[in-house]
Amino acid sequence: MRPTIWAILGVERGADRSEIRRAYAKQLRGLNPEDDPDGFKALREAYEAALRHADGLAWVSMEDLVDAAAEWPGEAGWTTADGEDFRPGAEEDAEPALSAEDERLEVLLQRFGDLLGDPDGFAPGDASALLEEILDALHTVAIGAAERAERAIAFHLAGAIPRSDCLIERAAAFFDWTDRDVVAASRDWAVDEILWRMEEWRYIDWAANPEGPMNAGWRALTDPPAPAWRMQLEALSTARANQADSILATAEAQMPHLVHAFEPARLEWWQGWLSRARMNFDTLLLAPALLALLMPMPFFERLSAPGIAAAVALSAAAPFLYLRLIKARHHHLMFGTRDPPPAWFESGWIAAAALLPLAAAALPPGARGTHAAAALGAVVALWTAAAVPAPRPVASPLMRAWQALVLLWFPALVWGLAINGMSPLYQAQFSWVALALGFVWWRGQHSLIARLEQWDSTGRLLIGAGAVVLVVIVAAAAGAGLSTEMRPYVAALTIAACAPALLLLWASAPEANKAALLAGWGALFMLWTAVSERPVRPSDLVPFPVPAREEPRPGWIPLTPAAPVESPDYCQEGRDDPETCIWRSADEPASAPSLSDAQRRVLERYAADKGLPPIRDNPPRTAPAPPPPVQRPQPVRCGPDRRSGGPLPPAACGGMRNWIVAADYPPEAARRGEGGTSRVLLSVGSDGRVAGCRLDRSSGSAALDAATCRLTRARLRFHPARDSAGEAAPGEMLFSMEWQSRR
Amino acid sequence: MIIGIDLGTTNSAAAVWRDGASVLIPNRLGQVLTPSAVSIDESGTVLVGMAARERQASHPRQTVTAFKRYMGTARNTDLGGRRFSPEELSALVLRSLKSDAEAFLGEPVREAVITVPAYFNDKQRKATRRAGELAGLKVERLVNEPTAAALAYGIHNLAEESRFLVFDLGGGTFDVSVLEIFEGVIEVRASTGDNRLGGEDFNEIIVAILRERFGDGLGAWAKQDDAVYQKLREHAERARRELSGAAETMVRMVWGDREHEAVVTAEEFEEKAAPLIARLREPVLRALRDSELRPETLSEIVLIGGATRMPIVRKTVARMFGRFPNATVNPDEAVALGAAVQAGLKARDSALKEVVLTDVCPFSLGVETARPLPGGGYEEGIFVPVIERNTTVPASRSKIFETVQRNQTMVRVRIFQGESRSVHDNVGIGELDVPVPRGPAGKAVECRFSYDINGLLEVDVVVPETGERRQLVIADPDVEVDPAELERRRQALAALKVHPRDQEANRTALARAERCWQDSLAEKREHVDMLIAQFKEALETQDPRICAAACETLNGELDRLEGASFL
Repeated sequence: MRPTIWAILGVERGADRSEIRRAYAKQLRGLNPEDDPDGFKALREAYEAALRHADGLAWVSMEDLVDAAAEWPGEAGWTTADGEDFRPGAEEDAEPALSAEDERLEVLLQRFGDLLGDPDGFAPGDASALLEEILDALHTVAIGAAERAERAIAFHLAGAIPRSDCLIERAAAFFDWTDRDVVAASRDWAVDEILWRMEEWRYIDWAANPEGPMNAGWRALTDPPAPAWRMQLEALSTARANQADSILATAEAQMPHLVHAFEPARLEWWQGWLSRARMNFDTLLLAPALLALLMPMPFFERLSAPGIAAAVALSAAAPFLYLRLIKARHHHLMFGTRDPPPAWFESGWIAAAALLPLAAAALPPGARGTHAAAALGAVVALWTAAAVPAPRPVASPLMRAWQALVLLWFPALVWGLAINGMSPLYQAQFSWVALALGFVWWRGQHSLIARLEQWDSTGRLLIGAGAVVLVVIVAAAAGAGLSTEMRPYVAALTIAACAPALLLLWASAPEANKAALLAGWGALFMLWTAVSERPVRPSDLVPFPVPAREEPRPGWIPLTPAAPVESPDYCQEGRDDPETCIWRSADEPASAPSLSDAQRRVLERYAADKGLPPIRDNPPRTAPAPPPPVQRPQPVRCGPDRRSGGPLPPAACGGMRNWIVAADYPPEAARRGEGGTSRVLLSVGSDGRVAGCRLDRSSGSAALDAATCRLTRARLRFHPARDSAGEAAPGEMLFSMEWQSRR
Repeated sequence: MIIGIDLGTTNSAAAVWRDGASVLIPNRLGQVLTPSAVSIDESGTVLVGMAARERQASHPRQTVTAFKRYMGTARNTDLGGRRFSPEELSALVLRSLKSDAEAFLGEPVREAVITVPAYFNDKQRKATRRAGELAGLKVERLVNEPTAAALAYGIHNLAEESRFLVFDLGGGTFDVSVLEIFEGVIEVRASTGDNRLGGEDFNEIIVAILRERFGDGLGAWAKQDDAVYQKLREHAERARRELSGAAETMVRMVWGDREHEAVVTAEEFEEKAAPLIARLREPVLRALRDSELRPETLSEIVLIGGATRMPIVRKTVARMFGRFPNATVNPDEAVALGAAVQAGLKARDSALKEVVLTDVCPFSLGVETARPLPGGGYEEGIFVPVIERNTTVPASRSKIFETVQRNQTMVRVRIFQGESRSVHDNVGIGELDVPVPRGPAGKAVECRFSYDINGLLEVDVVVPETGERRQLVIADPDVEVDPAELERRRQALAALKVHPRDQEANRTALARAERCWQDSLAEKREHVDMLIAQFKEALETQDPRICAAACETLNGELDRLEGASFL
């Protein structure tokens, strides 16, 4: 008889992993794969089998079972095959030996499959009893067998839907299918199928719930077309996930008065649990995006510490609170059984939204935070209002246009306020943020628009009036606080923001086109801001001429002072002491007044504030220095040519000192600050003079290239080339001249 | 004495286990790496190594590199009027390494351990083995490259129990191995890879960039021209190395009496290389899956192979594992050092007595089967593995198959290697016909696969009913040759004139200067011309001291002109 795996390894049966590994390593010294391949194969075989045993798998290999059978002779179910049957490595072939329990389980599963597979003979009571029996049996069989049984049950159940509905819940509870993580469950299509089925039940439950919105709508109808209604319910109860949409569409066509009742259902159905994950993602995206929008803005420099804290906290909390609210409503809509969010939550929320502009108003005047915060507050208030559902849809194109306008106008305004006057880097960054926000908005659009459509007339009036007030407030704020430069800018942005929105909402283009339009619009701006070297100007946006920039009024400090030391528009009437403050209007000539001590202190404070270089008095004027003497070029002197033999190329002469001077620099090139290396191919005549000059590589400046040729022809002398007889002959050579501009 | 040889796509190296440590064997130029390049000069003399590689751009028709990629195929290269198979070219490189080793060790070398990429299939392994035989070496073992690299790394860390992953991106192949060390056993848990991915592919990307930049400047006919391609490739290699340390590099290439210039930025390169980088991921995942290890349990990620010097590769690895890989091993030399350790193991060196290495078969091996369909007919071409991938070798596995048709008299067993369910996507290794007795369908045929430690496969097919037994005969006339033919080819190869060893340095310097002359224009070209003339003059004296001094001067001067030479 062959040795058992335990004998090969030299360990006790049932040793643990580390023992097996140690034993294997020890045996390996003798049964080296180099010297004894066959011995090694057997050892490896035994090692792998023993490790599987240690991992708790129910069966190891026939060999081990032979061993076990020898220990317990006569035990029912063990195969007492001799060693000949065993083929090392063919584990796939080697069926696990069946114990009595395993065999019984096989029989039960077989019966279960037969019962479910037969539509005529199916009796729920029998099936349920059989399932219980199987589940009972599972407690006593091996792990591997239990897993196989689980797969088999799932397979039979999934194949017999909807007959098997009455059994699914019990099996799912037993095997914890609902709690299993999505990835693991999706590997097994049968379990996946069952989970889908259970998802469907939720929907059916909801439709059948007398308190649910669908049935509320139903009760509101005076003359229900009963057969059609029942038909639809039946259709719903057998609907697969991917068919729900078309079934609902049929329902709409047949029962137009039920459309509203179905509308939230369809929304929920579209989104399902996926939308919950999506909302969480949006929250994650939205909060940092808003923070990013606010954090690097220059106005933070001038906020007080509590102001910064409040702005950060509010901007971080706003999206979370908003989504919390929406979610609460979702649950209420979806299940009909959960409580709606408490009244205090909503009123508190609206109050907080209203407080935002107030808090912003407490900021210093002129700061952009005011506008940004006001706009943010308005958006939040609007969205909050939009979240309140109403019983009827609105389909007027005018209304849709208006919705689009307000929805796009506010983000565009915030964005426009934010990026004007910033460095290109900030502009690019902010454009990205705006784009991200746009997408977030786009993703949420389904539910948002649907909710806007549900306003009743009173609600519409209220929202419309509120929005008009908000527009007036923001416009007033913009008019009061913005420089003239920015006003057409905001106007143009508003137009630009609304135009595509109008287009995309009126034209019933597919969703993808709409999204592409929006994205393209944002990308265009982003590209433009990224490539533009200077801050965006209104003239970039509007085709009509823009009025010249007005001098800023006192109290308004530009965000990027160009050279504020010479014209510190710093004094403010009623705040600063006119005695110590330097005040100058734009049309006064720039003179250099000598500073009094008090003025110097103010200026130094200002400079330190702005990180500017320290203030100095103007230097005393001195007489201009006499112009430097003009240098004259020296002629090139050629010494005797000491080279011998031939052939030889032309060679430079030795005495090339100062043959070219600063005055030779072409003035137009010097003015433009041009420089570079011109390389020319010179034809040197047999007399050593330059006979021809051809440009070989340009310096990039035509003036410099021309000067190179002109000067070399006029002034340079060479030792001429020589032919094989040693006689002077015409030749060619490359000559490079480097021009360096001081500027 | 057994030496370990890393026969690489771009560079090769040899090492020997001596006094309890691996020692790299320097070649005649004093360098550790010998480029895997072969060239034949005007007089029919064979040049190998640096001298050949320097001639690649100047004499593209007489020079060949990267021939390892064609190992095991019938693709022949025409060099100076003579046709060479990839294994003959490899044999020339091996012979050069052998003579270096003999000079270094002072004794004849007859046995060697040669490394092959883990993903080399049976044909490629056999071709490598034949290359060794053609070079006059008895190939004691073929070792998988990542295994060798891991040996070089692991041999110093035998004490503690550890698991690590070796990431080997070489010149032409990409291998991933997961190893475990316990109780003095070095066990390869899994080995995967992509044998068509390496540094050369990254060079191709730069070549494409350069082509685009230079545009029509190279001339329309240059699109297919091999000479311009070789020149581009050489510059691409240089640019890639520079990009490992700089954000951008300037490529200046002389072609058609004009100097072409282009700036290649690292960013652009990385963008274009993204598809290649993406291909690094799957083998790693598969290795981890097959070894049943979680990435967190690995103690180290070891980088091997010259191409892992690229920052983009390191970045990718770091991102993949969420930590920095171990780059302490010299990526060019590790494989040769590991091969020497294997040679030491083979030779029963006393320092390695307690060490045992077990390797795996990195691919599945199996046969083609047909399955009856429920509605009648058969689904053909289904691959059924007999030896699953990452089985520890040596291993024997057998499976029983059945005939599918009544009165079938013959079974054709076709053997494939690969991981696809359809045999058409796998590599065919061979086939054999076995007669079966006439009768109803379902006659048993047993296939027994034995995969030995060198990665060579033996297939036995037995029909239990008749006791008929057949062994695999590989019917591939392209690569299979009989011993007499092999001997004849060996003789032919040995008859080739080889450049004298002691003049190798001079020849290399001259080849380099000639290439440099081609790469320069105008004054610089004249300068190089003068240098070559001086050097040839010095060689004519035939005084070794003068020659050596002139050689040094020339190399120094060329270093100054074009930057130091690289391997």
